[in-house]
Amino acid sequence: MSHDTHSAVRAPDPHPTRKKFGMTLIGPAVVLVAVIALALTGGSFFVQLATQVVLWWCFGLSYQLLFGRTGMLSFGHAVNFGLAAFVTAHTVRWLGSSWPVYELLPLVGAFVGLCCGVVLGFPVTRRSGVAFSMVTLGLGELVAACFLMFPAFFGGEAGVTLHRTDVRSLLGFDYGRGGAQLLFTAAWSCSVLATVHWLAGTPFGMATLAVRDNAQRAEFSGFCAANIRWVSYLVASTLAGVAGALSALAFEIVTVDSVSLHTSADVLLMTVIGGIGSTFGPLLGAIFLSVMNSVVSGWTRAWLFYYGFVFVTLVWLAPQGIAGLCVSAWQRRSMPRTIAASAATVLGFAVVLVVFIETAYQIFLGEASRLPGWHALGSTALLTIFWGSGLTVAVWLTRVVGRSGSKR
Amino acid sequence: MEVLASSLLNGLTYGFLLFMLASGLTLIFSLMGIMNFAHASIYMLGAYVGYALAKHLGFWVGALVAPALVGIMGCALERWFLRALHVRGHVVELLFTFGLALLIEEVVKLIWGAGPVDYNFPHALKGSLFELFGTPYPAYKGFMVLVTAAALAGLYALVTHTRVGLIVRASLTHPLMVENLGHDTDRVFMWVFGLGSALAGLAGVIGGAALTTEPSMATQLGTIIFVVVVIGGLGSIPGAFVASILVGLLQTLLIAVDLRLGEALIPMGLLAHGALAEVKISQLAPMAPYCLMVAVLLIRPRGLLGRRDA
Repeated sequence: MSHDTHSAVRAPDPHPTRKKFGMTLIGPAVVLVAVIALALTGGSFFVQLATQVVLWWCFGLSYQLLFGRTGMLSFGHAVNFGLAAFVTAHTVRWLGSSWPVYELLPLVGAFVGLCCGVVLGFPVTRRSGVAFSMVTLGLGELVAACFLMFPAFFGGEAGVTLHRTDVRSLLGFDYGRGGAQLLFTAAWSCSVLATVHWLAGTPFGMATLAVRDNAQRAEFSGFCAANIRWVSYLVASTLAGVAGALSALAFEIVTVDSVSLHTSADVLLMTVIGGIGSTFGPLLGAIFLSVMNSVVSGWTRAWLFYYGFVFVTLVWLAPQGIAGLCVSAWQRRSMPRTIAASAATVLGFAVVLVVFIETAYQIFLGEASRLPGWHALGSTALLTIFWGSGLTVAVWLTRVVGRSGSKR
Repeated sequence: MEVLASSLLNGLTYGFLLFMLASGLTLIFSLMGIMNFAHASIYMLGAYVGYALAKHLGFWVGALVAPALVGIMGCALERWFLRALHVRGHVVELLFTFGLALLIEEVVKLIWGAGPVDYNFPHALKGSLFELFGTPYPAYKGFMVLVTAAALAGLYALVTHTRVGLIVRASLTHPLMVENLGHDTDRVFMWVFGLGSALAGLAGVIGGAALTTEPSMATQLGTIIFVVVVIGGLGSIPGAFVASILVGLLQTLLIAVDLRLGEALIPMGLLAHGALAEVKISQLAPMAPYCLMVAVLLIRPRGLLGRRDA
């Protein structure tokens, strides 16, 4: 057994040639426009949802740069995001209506993110791989543990609130309306996308790929791997800072949750679920996370279970995430039957799993599930369904595990 | 003086508990390169399984059977899941175990509820062992130290003085050569993973009964365990021991200090201003392990006793 240093995290093709252009820019743009159009024609709930999607996408893009392109699995990326959000909130409160600089406020977040990258990024990027992950976890917890000590900055349990309409707009828009704020967020997120896309094509972007795939070889080619990791961390933390500022402005409240492991875990889960190989992945992940977070959580208490299950399954069976699945489905479009068969299998398994879990929650926690007609079922019927679906899930899982577990 | 003595004893007890988790984690890491994020979740499973068994069969049966059950779970996890992921690199394994930790927490919440459960030591361990400056030292803490010391001594003897330990140690450095000599290294890995999980399960039985058994116990202790492992140096078991004791002592000693930072700095000729001066030293206790980690990383990036290449 060899100790290979190759990361299994691999983009489909590192060269952003004209052929790849569609995947990296046009694809996200089309989905983004669709999301925004849906939101603007729908009610205010959809505007909120779309704002969340765009925000998480922006944050996910920075994470994709860090993890997908440089191979650094960070458990503390929310530190940059959260601190930028807090500083932006305090800036808005301090500015009041003095200067019309609303459109430039994300730059404050970017600056804070940059500072975080300089201060925190230097010690953590000396290490790579698993050690880097552990250190970022510790640093994230360190910052989150500070919140009890500095109630003036973190605002205690209640967090810091702000009114974004206090700051006058440079261009004269009224950001009190959710739609305008959504477009503002989307515009900044697109500039983040442009930055990430541009960086991918530069020699530096190529060097990050080299460091990700084989740091030792990159060192022999004359690169300082630690410094490339550091610069990559700097860019990622700056972009995360932009996302943090945007989130502070969009939600008008920042709580300590935004620097905590919880948010770090969310951005990690979401980016991996969407797919870390392309800029399209974080958008799909952001849609998934926001829908789970705002819609599914209202339906069922088991949403975190589904969230974790999808993540584990994707890491295990489809490491390129939803985006990777879409790509491979597109590549096999000449065999629609195979695709339909696998889609049907996945769908069937999902239905049985959902039935099993919902019944389990109803039996164990005494909470009526939202499955149609489920609350009317007697206890015998519930138990029958529970054992039946549980057995099906178990058999199904055993088959999959047996097939991929014996593969070496 | 008496505060200091009792804090020292408590710190040592806590440090031993930390080391029980950190030793399994380090053993697995140094052998397979897997940083098992779900290790603390396995600790939690140990506590809950022990609790479930204790309800029906009594504490002692639970304390014996729960680690074995959790160890078998660990073996299955390695055999059926992690082994297939191994070829795809360590970062993917880390990701997978991270997701697993999330899932285990949800499953525990589903089965045993989101609140803490009533898991305690039996009455035989409720009395005091001896008195120190008038404060009684509870018997269950003595039991904790005894069990951890016995388990770790057993582990040490197994690794250094038996044939199995010889194969394990050889697999650490020369897995291919061990395989060529006719040993099934995959099976060795599986058993080591199971052993580490069983240790975590035993720590869960003890820690769950001494502290609280609740679904957030994995995250609470988990991050500290990883910090301990980083401070000690990844893959170094002696380092993990030093770091566990250090972190255990630091945390309990800081909690015992009833001073504000401003007052504490005056004798040193330093002055703190504003918000910083108002911070209580005991509030610093949760941050202490992380601060220690940053300090160690800045001075000695490979950890206290770590090797350079780990």
